[in-house]
Amino acid sequence: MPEVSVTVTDKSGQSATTSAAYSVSAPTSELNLPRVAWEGGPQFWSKFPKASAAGWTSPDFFPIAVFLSNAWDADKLKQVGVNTYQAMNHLPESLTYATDRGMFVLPQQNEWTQAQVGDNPNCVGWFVSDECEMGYSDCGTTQEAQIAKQREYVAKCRGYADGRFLQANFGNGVARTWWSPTYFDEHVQLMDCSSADKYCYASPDAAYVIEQSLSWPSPSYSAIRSAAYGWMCDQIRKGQDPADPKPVWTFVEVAKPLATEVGARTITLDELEGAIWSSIIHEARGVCYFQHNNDAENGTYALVDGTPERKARVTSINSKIKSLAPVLNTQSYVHNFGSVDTMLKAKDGYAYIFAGVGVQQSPGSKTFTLPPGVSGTTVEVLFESRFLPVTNGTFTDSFAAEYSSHIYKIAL
Amino acid sequence: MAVPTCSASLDKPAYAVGETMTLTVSYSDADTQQVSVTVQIADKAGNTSAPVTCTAVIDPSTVTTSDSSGRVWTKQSDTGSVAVFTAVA
Repeated sequence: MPEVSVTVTDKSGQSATTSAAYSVSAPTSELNLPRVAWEGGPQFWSKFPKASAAGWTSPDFFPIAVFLSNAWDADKLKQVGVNTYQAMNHLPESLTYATDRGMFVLPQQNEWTQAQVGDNPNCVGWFVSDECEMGYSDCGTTQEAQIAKQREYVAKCRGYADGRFLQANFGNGVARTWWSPTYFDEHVQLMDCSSADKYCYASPDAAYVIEQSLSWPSPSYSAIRSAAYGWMCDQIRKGQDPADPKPVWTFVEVAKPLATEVGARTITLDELEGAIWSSIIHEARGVCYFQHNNDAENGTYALVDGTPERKARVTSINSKIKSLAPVLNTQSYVHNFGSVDTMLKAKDGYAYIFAGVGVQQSPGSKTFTLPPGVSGTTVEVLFESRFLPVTNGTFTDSFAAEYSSHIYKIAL
Repeated sequence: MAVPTCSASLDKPAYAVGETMTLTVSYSDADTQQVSVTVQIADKAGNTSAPVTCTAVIDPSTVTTSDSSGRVWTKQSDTGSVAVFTAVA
């Protein structure tokens, strides 16, 4: 412990000395606020030896996945920041092509056999099913048949006892309306990690499903907005056992996700980024891109064959996520900043506020009221080269559109 | 000749990096005299001004600091009996 010594000396040279000790600690990372319930962040993966050994427990790691894609595209997918295949096109000889390049794979259990996957250390989980609650993945036409098949799939994969986690994607079930209403929660609870893919921007039909949900404000309130993607994360979490929380991943379309109905279109780049951050603000622990495309500009696989601008934007988003992974992998705090959708984190002496325009909120000027314990007088707006002043414990910023989002960093 | 006496206290026992630390030193020396001079002006008519007092220390003592961690303490004030220093934690 350091100490400061004080000496008082008079004109005759006589002196007296005393001292005072003190301690100096690193800046606190803690805020004195309630915490948002969570599953443990990266430590959740320590339950699964394959994922743990592969580094998924690292606070620097954040899953960024692509749905059902080709192993041969591993280098191009890595280039845009993808690190995981959430299902992979079934060409058995190609699996190690991707994993040798550092990619993680969740092989779909209905195509990849245990023997084909073997002990591959980068195959960290099994993709159990896609939209089983809607009857896909050979799950049948009644909700009883669907949950029975899901249980069967899970029992098979658990039976492997191979240290891999189980992941599934869901569809219309997140609306909690017509699709497997009795068993949707069980579908979710059977998994170690879940996602849902309703492409609200690109598909009017998908947005319609969300708008009919009793959890959505009203059928007349459009779900063609970034907030719908964060809302879906909350909807999946509703299906979980609160005593046994698990990671939720978001699913966002990269271009025009094979949508053919009237009004179907390509998601804009701003919308794409807004959907990702809305999901993360709603505690998504992973991102999955649906890159299959049927517009004229972005090829079959938009992360591989898309326009340079589209790939550059996705690369930029993923780079931001990767650089913020140590922050994202901390437990959030509860704080109401005002009429804005937020997630509050603290790390190494700084508060981080992730903010967007939420359900039933409007774009425009937003004033943030800081919580106790945040003492910084200047707010850095990350990735935008902007700084904002703090006045009387508040700061103000502008959100130009419903998809706008900002990330703020302030000293504690 | 008398030996000076002193005591020192910090405003907090523990600090976060970058925080300002404040050290207050109280000291005295019997050989040091503090002189106060009070001036009051009176005119021929008997009107008097308000009194003004100045103080000075004769043979003042010096107060110095040293820090085991190498931090530099800066004197902010010294009345002759109380000195205040600050440093950055």
